[in-house]
Amino acid sequence: MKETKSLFKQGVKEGFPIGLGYLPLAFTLGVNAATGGFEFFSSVVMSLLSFTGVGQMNAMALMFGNSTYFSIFIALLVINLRNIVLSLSLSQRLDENVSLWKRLVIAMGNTDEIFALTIRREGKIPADYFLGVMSFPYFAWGVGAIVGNLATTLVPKDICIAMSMALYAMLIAAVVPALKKSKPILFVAVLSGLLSFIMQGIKSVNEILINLMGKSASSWVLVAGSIFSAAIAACIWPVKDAKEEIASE
Amino acid sequence: MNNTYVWIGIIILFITTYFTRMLPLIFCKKPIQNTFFKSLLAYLPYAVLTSMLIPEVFQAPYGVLPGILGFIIAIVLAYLEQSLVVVLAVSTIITYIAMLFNSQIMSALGF
Repeated sequence: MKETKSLFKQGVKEGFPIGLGYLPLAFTLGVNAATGGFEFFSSVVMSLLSFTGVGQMNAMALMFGNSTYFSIFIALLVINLRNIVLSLSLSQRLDENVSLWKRLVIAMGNTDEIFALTIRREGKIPADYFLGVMSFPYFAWGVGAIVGNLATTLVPKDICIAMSMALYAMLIAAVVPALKKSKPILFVAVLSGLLSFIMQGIKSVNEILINLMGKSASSWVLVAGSIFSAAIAACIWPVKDAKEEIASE
Repeated sequence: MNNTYVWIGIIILFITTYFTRMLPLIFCKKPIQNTFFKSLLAYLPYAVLTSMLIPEVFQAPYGVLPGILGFIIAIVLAYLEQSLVVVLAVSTIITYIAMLFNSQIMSALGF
């Protein structure tokens, strides 16, 4: 019991910066929802049900464009394909005997940033630690959405914009220490970053892809490029034992 | 955009977000034995996280130059294994300062 408490506490402490990063993001989404014609109640429920910035941004864009239900579904499914990858990896790092209820709650909080933080831990990820990490960011997510809906001028716009760097820094802090220790991860990060830069960052290439695959092209590209890079690394450097080995190689 | 439309949209967003996160956690509890698949899963998150970062980090509304600066600072600090709060706070503050001087710097560089 005592261990449970301290793991949860440790998680809350480590998850705190993510929550701070989410505040302006949730706030911005709330402002966008309110200006786009969402009612207060539906906008807040949307935020509480879907703990995802990318997903919400795209869902709102699609709804503002009066897309059909089918195209909203397909686009969001493609955008969320990466969740399957991240949750599969997380599932390998959780203890097998973590209860169903805890898994159902953990699933709610497995955002890109929370995943990025928790995999920094060596060995198995304790469920209570994960629950601690996701608690404040989820709370901040809700508060940000409410405040964003109510007031559009509370936080100076420049600060909101600059704070989005915190979310990117989160991803950097997850990848860089790992690639420092492991050559395969360095290879994977450089290759997938390069592929992503070419396919999404270079305008003419990106336009061709959008013509071929439609608006959700960048999500397909993200998933395909990632699988390609990781598959090459998996062929060259097969991992013998559990996941924790590559991190400490 | 009427109310029913919004609510159905919200439900679609919820289903696609939650189920893609929840199903693997519920149905793939056992450690995977296949070496290739295990290796693939060990490397994939780093590939996904990197491709989410690049090129978006340079395209955010704070501008290209502040983006590059914040990006480099965060990489250096993370490489030196500074604590997470330091990485996040310093790179964000640097980005903010660069943002304030962005137009001056750009014109000094001749853009």
